[in-house]
Amino acid sequence: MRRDPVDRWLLPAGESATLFAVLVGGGALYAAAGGSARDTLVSQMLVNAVMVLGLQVYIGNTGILSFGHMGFAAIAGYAVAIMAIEPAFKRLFIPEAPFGLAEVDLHPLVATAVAVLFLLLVGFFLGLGLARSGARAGAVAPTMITLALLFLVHEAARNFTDLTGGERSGLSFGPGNSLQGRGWIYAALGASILVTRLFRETRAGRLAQAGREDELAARASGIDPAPPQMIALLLSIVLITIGASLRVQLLGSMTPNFFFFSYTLLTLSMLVVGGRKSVTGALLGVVIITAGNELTRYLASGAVSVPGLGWLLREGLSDVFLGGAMLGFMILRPDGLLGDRELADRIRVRRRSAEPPPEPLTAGAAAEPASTLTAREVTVQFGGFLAVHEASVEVRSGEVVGLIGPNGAGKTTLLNAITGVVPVTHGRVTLDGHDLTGRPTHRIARAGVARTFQNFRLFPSLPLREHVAVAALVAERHRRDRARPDPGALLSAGGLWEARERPAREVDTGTARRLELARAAALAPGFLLLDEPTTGMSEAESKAMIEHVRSTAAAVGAGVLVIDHDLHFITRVCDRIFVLDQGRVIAHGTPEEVQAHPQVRAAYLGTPAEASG
Amino acid sequence: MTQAVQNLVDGLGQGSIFALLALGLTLIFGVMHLLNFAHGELITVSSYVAYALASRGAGWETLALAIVATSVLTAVAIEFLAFRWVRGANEFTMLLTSFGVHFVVAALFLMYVSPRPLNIPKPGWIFQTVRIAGVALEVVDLATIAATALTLAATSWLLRKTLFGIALRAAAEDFDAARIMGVRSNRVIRGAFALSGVLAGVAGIFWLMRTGTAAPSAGLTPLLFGVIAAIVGGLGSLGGAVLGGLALGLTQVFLRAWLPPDLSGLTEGLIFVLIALLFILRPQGFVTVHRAERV
Amino acid sequence: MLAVDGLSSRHGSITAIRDVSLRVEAGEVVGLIGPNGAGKSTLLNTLVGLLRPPAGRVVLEGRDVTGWPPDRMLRLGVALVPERRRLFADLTVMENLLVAGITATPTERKRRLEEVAELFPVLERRRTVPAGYLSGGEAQQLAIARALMSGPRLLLMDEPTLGLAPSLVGLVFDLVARLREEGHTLLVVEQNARRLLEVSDRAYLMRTGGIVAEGTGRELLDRHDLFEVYLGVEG
Repeated sequence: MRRDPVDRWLLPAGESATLFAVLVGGGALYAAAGGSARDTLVSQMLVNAVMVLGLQVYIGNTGILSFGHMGFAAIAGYAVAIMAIEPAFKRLFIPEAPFGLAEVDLHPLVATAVAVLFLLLVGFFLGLGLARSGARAGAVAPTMITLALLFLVHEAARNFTDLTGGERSGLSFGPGNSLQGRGWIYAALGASILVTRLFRETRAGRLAQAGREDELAARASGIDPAPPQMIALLLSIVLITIGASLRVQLLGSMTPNFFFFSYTLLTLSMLVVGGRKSVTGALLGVVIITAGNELTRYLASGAVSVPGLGWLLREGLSDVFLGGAMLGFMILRPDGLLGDRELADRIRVRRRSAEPPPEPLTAGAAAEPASTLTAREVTVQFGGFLAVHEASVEVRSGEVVGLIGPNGAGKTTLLNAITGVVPVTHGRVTLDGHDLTGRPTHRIARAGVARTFQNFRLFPSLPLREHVAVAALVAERHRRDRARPDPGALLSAGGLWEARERPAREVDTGTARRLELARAAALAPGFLLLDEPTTGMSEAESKAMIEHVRSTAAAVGAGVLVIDHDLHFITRVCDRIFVLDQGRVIAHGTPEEVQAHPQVRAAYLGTPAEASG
Repeated sequence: MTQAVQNLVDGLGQGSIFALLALGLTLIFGVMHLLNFAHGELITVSSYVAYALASRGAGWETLALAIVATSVLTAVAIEFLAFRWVRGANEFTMLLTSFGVHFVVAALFLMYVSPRPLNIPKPGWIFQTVRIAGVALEVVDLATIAATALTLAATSWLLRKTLFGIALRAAAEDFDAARIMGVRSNRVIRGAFALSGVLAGVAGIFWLMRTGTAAPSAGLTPLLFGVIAAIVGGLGSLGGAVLGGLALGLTQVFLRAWLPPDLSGLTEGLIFVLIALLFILRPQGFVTVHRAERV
Repeated sequence: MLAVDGLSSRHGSITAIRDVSLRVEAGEVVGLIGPNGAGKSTLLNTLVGLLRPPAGRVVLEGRDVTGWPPDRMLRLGVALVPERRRLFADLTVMENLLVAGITATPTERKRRLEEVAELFPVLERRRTVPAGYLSGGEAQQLAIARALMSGPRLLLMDEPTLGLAPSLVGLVFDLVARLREEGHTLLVVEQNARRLLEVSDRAYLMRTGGIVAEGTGRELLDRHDLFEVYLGVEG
């Protein structure tokens, strides 16, 4: 299931070239048919496209709503303006500029390059802050932080008149100094499309997307979303800076309102309408919104009088159109027109369907060293509630250990404690003596402890194959010294090969459970922790899971700890069983021993009235 | 010393407005998990109604009533037209929906009224001062604080002593459990919006008294401060929202007083820096929602 | 009173129930036992209206109420004591009861508050305490009291002994017996199968989404292979 160079690089490059040709060609045709107003419109549209791509590469891939992203653009706009405007002209606006900036005279290209470096620095520190806050406070924090940036820059620009010319005059390029022809715009646009399209296919892009879909599941697969998000942010800032530079030169001036709320509304609605998760979608959005915006502005200008619609066709209609578009799409089609589909998806799927089926999964090379995962006297306490009380369990490579008990016994909590999802109050979790207690979830996964979830957590818009592929990506880097299973073979073994291109949100429970197992196994783990892998399956599917779990574990060379309520499944798949009740381990032994244990029977069925207190 | 007291009262006066807005935002967040960026539109719409009435000679008693009424109607209308359709959606969708509403309303005023700010005459007594214990305090501040205290008391009474208020708090805590108890979800949500409308209305009265302007962006600044205050307060706690608003007002006034004169225009900017720092260092807000233990 | 016919339902990844049929007669206590993942909670949540079933029918006293939402079901007299109680922790005991009585007229509400105070004297003493500070036993009593505030004809209870110390288990079953004496009709899901079967008139055993055994409480209790059938183990 390896993705060949055609799939990974050639097709996306081809898509990029096509999109570029369509935009540029279409724009040139439109401009040729009209006067200079059309010319300007096309130039603006292409520059807006660069900006929207800058938004897409961050917001689309990470899922973080950076509402104030234009704050970066504002800084960039001022930086370029201050550095590139001729001193003779600059002295008219900002004669008192600090640091002798009034005398600086750089070629716009150089000025843009300097701006990029400066913005990357700013962005890096902001990115650190975003990572820290996002982890604790959900979607609102990045929105507020970037909004704070947007307002801060706006206020600073209005007040530091020495540097920026303030609100009244702003900064202007001298006549004949602004952008001539569209050469630079084409170059920037072509590069932007290519870079953002290819980014989706890179390791960082794919890890960011997994984090966007379900952060906890991504972490449990060994992914730390922060570095890919930082890369996306920095890439985004480069594009935004270039776009801002072009826009400022195109318009020939810079004021505090240039990259403020109006422009944010314009670019965000472009991003949202076409589909923020795809490059094709973002560009489609640019075209649709530009057209709609122009149309409404034209209608509202009074150049045309439509009988009966005079009340509608007034100035401001274009803003209503933009806001309405954003609103309408959020209500009716939050994923935009294209969702996450790209131009050549049909071709891509067709090529991939023609892949030869993979080799069957073979038992892993027996050279994997024997390993032990131990939870020793683990206690998990939430406030006053003792969920797990001094529970000790142990799993060795090659064996399948069951963890059973009535509802509320603490089984999932124990699993969560082992995998770092909940904090351990007392006790230790060790892997061959290495202390894993309290480490971050993604590090525990990278150490070789993979898991599935009771209420399965898939990556809803990603195809089945990507679930396994992304885990394999992690294994490639962090599980180097182990034999790693072929992702295609894992899919095939789980009966998932036929449906591999379908997005995960479309599959039924049984498929979802098998997919979670495949994703966990793709990590080449030393241990598989399965939480209710048969819940929601029919009797037949549960029976099939018995063999499937055993063979997958053998192929990967992993020990298994499995929680389940289906005792038919448990007694046949497990070598040993731990029984948990009210947070404590009350029994431990072979399936037969455990079934006959009176305390176990009592735990499940309860004791008769005469016997209890 | 007197300067400090004046600043304190001034800060509380400003902060009261933010507290009312933050409270409304927190109520809505509690029942819908939506941070309502369209909340400022309540003040924007009210400003135009106030302008219309004022230009026909209405006095501030009438204006005050009209502002509150408009605010409530607008809030319920926005819920009915926009937010009703996105209940239960993810945070991204809901945030963008509220931004969308904000833009549409602002644009509608641009279209149908005027892009330029319109003037609402301020009441005569707004510039008067009163001497209390030898300190000169502005009447407008005292009036704001008094009105806010009354409103908060009334709201607290509503939330604690009426069945509607208890149902609202229950729904904010566990929406589905409330439904099982028979609480009607539509009523609760609409009620939350209406109540937030009342709060925003009272805040709007005093905001518009001070600014005297009706404009498409009239609601933007108060909205922003309300959002910041709500988040500082932790977004889950009604008490926290009020404290957050007061703290913000005080910070604003004291910053302005301490900054050197030529930098005082940067007050707003510095507040944003502080906010950004807050988010980076303590994203869950300042008031730890001291939830009674989960049973 | 309640007839369920061929009901199927699911809730995301949580177990589906397939083709479930059962009845509850007025004045009975019907027990619903089975291991986890059997679909017992899904069944109760569907009956009360939190989940909409794609197939099957629910008939309450002759009226087809399939797919009705929770507030309508409550007004018809079907009340649920949810799994893990789901009390409003920040609201006081009294406020919890008042909210639960929101569908009643003020007179009815007052009367039921008095009835509840008589049944649960400890709640009366802790009227102004936020529900989050109640002990386990008090909390369970409050949960049941809340359900009674709507004057239900049918009381559904989802695992009332869950999370309670073993010594309080007896309290819960005493309450079940007392409610039956007062003429209530109950459908109770429980982990503690034996105790439930002792107080049930009839019972159903569910596993993997369907009913695998039924009979009177005594009949099921007397089965020697109860454990095996319960967990689906063969021999």
